[in-house]
Formats: sequence, structure tokens, C-alpha cells
Amino acid sequence: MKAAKKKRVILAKVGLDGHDNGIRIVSKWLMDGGYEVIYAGLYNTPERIIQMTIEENADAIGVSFLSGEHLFYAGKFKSLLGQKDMGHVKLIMGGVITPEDVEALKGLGVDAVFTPGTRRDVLLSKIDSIM
Amino acid sequence: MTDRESIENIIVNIRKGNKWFASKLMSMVEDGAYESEECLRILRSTPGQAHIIGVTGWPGVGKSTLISRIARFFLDKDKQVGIIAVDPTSPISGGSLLGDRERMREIDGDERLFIRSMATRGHAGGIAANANAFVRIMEAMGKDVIIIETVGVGQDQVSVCYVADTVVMTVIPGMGDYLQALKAGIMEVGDVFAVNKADKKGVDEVVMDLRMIIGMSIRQNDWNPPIVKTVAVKGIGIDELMARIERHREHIAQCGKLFSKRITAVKLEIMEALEARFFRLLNEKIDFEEKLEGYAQQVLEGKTDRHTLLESIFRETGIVQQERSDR
Repeated sequence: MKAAKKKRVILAKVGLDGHDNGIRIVSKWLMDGGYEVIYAGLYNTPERIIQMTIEENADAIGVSFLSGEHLFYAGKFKSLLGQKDMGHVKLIMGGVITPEDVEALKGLGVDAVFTPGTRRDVLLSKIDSIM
Repeated sequence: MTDRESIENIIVNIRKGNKWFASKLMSMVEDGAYESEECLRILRSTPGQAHIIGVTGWPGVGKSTLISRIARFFLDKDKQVGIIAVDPTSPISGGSLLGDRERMREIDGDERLFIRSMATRGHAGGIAANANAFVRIMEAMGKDVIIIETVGVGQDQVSVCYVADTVVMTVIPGMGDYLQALKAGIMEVGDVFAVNKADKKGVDEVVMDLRMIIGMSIRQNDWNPPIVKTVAVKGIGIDELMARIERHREHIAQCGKLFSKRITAVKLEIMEALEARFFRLLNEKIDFEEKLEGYAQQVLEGKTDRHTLLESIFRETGIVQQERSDR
């Protein structure tokens, strides 16, 4: 049977940043938006998330930050995705990020960036549009 | 690349244990891609030897944690391990939150391990319709052990017992009296019982209740399901649990039950494929889903009954040619 293709998204926190309220809310939003969300929780490494992306055949990785390490990790994720020939996997970031850094992240090839106060419908329509 | 070449490429790489190809084939199966059926056929033509362990039980009994321990046990013996973790799909949005993997972080990341999260996508038996296909793909990758985690089951979600060789039914103290357990179909499918969180109050009562239920159940193949107390978070009781699980597998291999279980699993797969195909046919022929609302209204208001309605649907689709004479 030709079933509808479901999009799969891995949501994770990386490093020692333990603030997961935002990403939990986004998990619920994406689930309600019809996505299959693989919730990876706290304290992950980019390498582990990439391995997970392979095993889950995920279409996107979403990572959130409060700790200010978003630029470092964006570069790390992009280079790992490049090395593994996984350019088709979208990279989504969120969290407390300054407007200048939002631009910098986009410059690094991050597909979407969401900051606090983003509305549910805005987030969903943006993610729908890049997937 | 032609279809033929691409199928062969998938097969060769999966048999080398390539996670990427296995993962992609799993998605193709889930999304109903045409080529995936041929891949599965080829993979099945070389039967595997993996031990398939199903872990089931009510929500919150510690299935994911127990699975981490079971997987660790096999990894320590340098075995290749696959895990299929099933969580429910929301009937409202069609989305799902797959969170089992997060509880397996202790083992996640091991090269010899492959974890795949799976949404039920509307399948009601506690595991997803394609779980058996996923098992065969992992088996072809060379996994020695494949562990399936069902959704937190209620009382009659027993399809895991068809796909798994050994079903570990997980219970915890304080979840109601033995009558609850007695009426539940899931209690009948346990090959090994793990009484988890056994450091909590009431564990001996649970063991006693289980003994009584098991004693009263009709069992086949002379297997008397053992009961093992475990505290998965602390790793207590795991060695004994594993000894029982491995003993069960030897037992069903000896008595021939292993083969009959695998046949039953494929029967289930065929039935599910038939159901899906039939539903698609109804939509193609008569826009069934579009009309369902109207049908429901007619039945609700007593304008027709379900049998009459089905007869008329079947005639409309041409599945039944004439009026049935036996009515």
C-alpha cells in the first residue's frame, strides 16, 4: 500500500546545557503537526545525534540552546553531515540566540532558526516549508 | 541505476551490516514503496538465526530500561543487537512522540547496536504493522538478537507474541489485584515474567498472584513461564532473567514452536497487507473515506444497518456481483 510519507525529526539538546523546556514544547507541537518526533533528550554529542539520524532515517535534526554554544555546534553538525554525505538532512536550531547570530547560523547553512516567543503556527509552517 | 541494480545494491549493503541502507529500506517499507517488497522477499529467502525477544507490559513498568539491560547483556558477550522501539501514533494528528530511545542512552551509540524507533501508524496490536519486516531487515544485517519494545499495552494487545520468539511480560508491584491480570489477554502471552521495580512494596503479592494465574492457564509445549524479580535501573535480577530467556528460546527451537510462530507472524503480515490493500481499493472504486460520514449518519439514524450497508458497498465496488441469496 502506498501510505503517506511521514516526516521524521530528531529533537535533542547537546553538551551540558540542561534547559529542555523549549524543545519539549516543540516536540509536542511537531507531533501535533503530524511529524514523527524522535526525542533524544539531554546531554547528547553531535556524533551520537548523527548516528541516530542514520538509524532513524530522519529528515531533520532540531537542536536547542540556552548556553550560547549554537555557533560552535552548528559548524560541527554541518561538517559531520557533510562528511557522511547527509546533505539532505535539514538542520533546525532554536533557543536564546541574538539576531546577529541568527544571521550567522543561516550563513553556516542552518535551515531554520527559532527564538523565544515564536508562535506554534509560525514554527510549523516554516518547518513544513523546508521539509 | 536501474531498479534491479538499486535493489541488489540495497541487499548487498544490508547483508554487510550497513546501517544507512537498512534504515532507508525500513522507511521504504513504512512508506509503502513498491521496491521494498522485492527487497524483503530476497532477504527472507535466506532465513536468519536471530533470537527475537519481545518486551511488553503496561505503560511505566520500565520496559525501555529493562531493554537497555538486556541489550547490555548481549553486547558484553560481543553480540550484534537490534532494538525496535514502538510508540503510538496520535489518532488525531497522525504524528508521534518516540521517546523510548531517550531511556536507552546508556547503550545508545555502540557500533554493534542498531536502534530504530517506530510509530504504530494506526495499527492496534501494540506493535506496528511493519515490525516483522523490520525484524527481518535487522536479521539480514547480522543481528544476533533483536529486541522489540511494544507500546505500553492495555489488556488485549498481543500481536508481539506472534513476532517475537520469547515474550517478556513486565509487571510491577501495586498495579491492581490478580483479577485484573487474569482477564487480560496479555498475561497469557508471557513466556517469561519480569516483576520489575522489585525493590518496591508488594512484590511478593505480585509474584504470588502471577504464580496462581500461570498455574491456571492452559499452556502449550510444556513450558512453565518463570517469574523473575528485577530492578532494571540497578541491574538486579538481569542475569537470572537472561538465563530464563535463553532457556525459552532453546525450548521452542526443540519443540518446533519456533517455526510455527514465524508462520503465524507472516500470516499476520499478509492479513495486514490485505486489509490495507482492500481499504485502498474501496477508496479507488467508491471514494469510501469521503462517503464514510454519510454512511455513519444513515446507521446512526436507523436508516440502514451495518450488514445491509456492507452488502451495498460490495455490490457498488463489484466485489460481490449479485444479491446474496443466503440472506
